Amino acid sequence: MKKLDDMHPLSATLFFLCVTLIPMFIPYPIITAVSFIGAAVYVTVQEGRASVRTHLWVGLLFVILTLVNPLISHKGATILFMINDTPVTLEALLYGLNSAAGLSSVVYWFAAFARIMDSEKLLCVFSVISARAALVMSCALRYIPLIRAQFRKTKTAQRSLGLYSDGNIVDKIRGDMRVFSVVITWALENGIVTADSMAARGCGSAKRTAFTTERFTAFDAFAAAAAAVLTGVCAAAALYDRLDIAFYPDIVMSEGSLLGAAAQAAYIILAAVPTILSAGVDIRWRYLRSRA
Amino acid sequence: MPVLDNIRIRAAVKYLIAFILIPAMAVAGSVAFDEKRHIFISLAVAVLALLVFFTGYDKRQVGTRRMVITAIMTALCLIGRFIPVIKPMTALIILTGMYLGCEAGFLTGALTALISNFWFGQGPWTAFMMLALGLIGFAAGLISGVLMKKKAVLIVFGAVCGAAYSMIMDIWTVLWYAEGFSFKLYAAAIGTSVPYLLSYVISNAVFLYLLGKPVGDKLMRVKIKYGV
Repeated sequence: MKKLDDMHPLSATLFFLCVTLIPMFIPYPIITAVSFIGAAVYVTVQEGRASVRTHLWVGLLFVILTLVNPLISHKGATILFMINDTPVTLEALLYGLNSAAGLSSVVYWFAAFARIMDSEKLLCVFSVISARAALVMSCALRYIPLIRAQFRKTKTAQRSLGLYSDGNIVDKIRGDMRVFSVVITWALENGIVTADSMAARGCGSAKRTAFTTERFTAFDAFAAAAAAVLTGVCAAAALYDRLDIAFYPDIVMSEGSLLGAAAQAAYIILAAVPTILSAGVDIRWRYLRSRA
Repeated sequence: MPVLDNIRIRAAVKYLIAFILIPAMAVAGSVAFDEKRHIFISLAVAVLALLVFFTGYDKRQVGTRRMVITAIMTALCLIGRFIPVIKPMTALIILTGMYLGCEAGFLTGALTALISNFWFGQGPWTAFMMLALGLIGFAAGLISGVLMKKKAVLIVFGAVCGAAYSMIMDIWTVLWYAEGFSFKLYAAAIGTSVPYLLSYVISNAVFLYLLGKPVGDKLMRVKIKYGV
């Protein structure tokens, strides 16, 4: 058993894409609700007290997205009340609620995903698509701290020369622009040296391959296969119209069916697994420590 | 493939896929499927376009120097996105496209969007941002001759790119929120994003005015001096 954080990046990415894309493309109330709750719980387990900020920001998004639809769309049979002679309908409100749950859960999931994907894992995933573009990305990531350090150095040097003033905003911008210009020149020259050094070590002499320390274990394979199968069940249910909902003029949902129920169960498993894995690993860790 | 050895045929295929095949798929998808699937089609098209580019980039012969210079421009763009309100990001992407070519412009734009979204919020919109910023760099590379000659044209191009970028992302907002496209929602989305649109337009114009010549000269110098 491994947390998503410790899984092979490819498996973790596949898992997250499945969990995220299903509520995006199947806006069925049970699916969107499960996705929203699952994501909220996972973010809480993952971040602990720091998750309050994410919750507030997603909550705000949720409220705005819920309210936008009934104000714009006036379709629907059940009129709740009138604003300036335009009706606000129950169906439009529920539609807004459903899409808001789906959309804000996507934001939740991606926040959780961005948290476990460090640059090393990102490069591992990206190198599957293009090893060379991953190399460019890796160089770019390395150059950010280098450029920032050089910026600071140049600024200090300019200040000690008396060339840099932050007395007023125009002077400050002019000074920053000069430092920026110096740093760009430095970065480009430095890049040529780096490139020559890379070429001297054989870069570009054969097809580029990518190195990663990540190992693809049996658990990773199992997790990826499970995600694919569960997503397949959901996709089948969607294709056979077992997870359809129409909001206007009256709310009509697909009748209950075995495939529809199976798809909902499959999605509940998908949305719960990240939390279960995290919590399970944590509990086992505490248990082992308490025995030591 | 032996047929694709001819450099002109290869270029033709490249443009065919980028400008005919993918838009055709988008149109066909929107006609063949019902409104609910528009979001799916648009996401699929964006991802496909990015895949075509990135796998193509792997096969082509790109010098190590050009690759590293592209990486440095990407790093500068990334730093540029962290400056509040007025950001030199898009201006630098345009300059990269102009001086290092379409490919480098596209790569810089796409990678900047992908990496910076780890700080600014990752989401399905990342694919659209990558494509939009990449295409800005690509377009700058296509018409680099005109852009280099007249500074006014460059500034106008930057402003138009800023506005276009904001409006492309608004299309995505609408598709994401509603089933199918609605002009009413689109107008509302444009209305709420006016401050962003203005900030993009202004920062592109200002930074292309300020950085256009100096950064362009630097890139030109590196190109000539080291044969990038």
